Amino acid sequence: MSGMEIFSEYSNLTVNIKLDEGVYVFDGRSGTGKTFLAKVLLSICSIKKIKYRYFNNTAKDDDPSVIVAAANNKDLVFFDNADLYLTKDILKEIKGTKCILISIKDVLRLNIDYKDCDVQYNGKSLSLEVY
Amino acid sequence: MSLVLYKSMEEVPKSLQIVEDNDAFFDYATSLDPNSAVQQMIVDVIDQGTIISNQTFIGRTKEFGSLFKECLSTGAKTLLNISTHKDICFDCIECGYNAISLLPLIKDGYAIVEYLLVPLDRDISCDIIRDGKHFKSFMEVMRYERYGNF
Repeated sequence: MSGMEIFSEYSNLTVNIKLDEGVYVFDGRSGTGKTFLAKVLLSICSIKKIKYRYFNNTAKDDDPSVIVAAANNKDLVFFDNADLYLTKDILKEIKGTKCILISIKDVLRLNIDYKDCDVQYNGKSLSLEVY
Repeated sequence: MSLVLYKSMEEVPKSLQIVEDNDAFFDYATSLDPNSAVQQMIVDVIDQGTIISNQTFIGRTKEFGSLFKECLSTGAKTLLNISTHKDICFDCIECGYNAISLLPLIKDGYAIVEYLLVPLDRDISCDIIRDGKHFKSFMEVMRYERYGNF
């Protein structure tokens, strides 16, 4: 299965992400660097022409169809603050997107198959570890 | 006063304002206090940062210099909201277990936490009301959550 790989410099940071196609859910701790990673990816993906879409708490007032339309056919979608707006119906409707990263604490309500992942951020490098 | 921890929104008295979007509320309405030991500990333990003014902190990449408060994690923002606005109830749905484990630092306020089970390697004193019961030990809260008694 084709996925995606990002190896890049961002300011003084080395960013390294390697993902197979699929859905990934972040480990349950706060302050690991998830939102920071999401925002770093905005710049890197723009430069590298990777089709990326980032959702955060501001999506909570959006109609689900708007979220689905914006998330379709992307290389990478990042749902941050997903407890506030993401549902299993939204995820079910997304088509043609390779990799989906989800920051959510109550993952059971999504009823999906996923892999666990975690951000590794030590101040010098930023990477994604998949379990 | 104590820290009152509700299990769901339905439990919260109608007279209390509930905040679900802790990021937006924090960015809009909460200032940092570099002289607060509790706030410093929250930012240190969760985000490995140090508060340096009421709007800025130093994060784990020191070369970035001082960062605006909105760069803090949602977990840290939620606890800072609870510790600052004592008359508002904040939903902790987005808090990781490491943030939940710092709730005993806050001695008064209101929050919604469905599950209070977090790994603890030692007991911590607290002033928590859960299900109308008053707890002074966080280990007792855990025991109550798990077994229904303490």
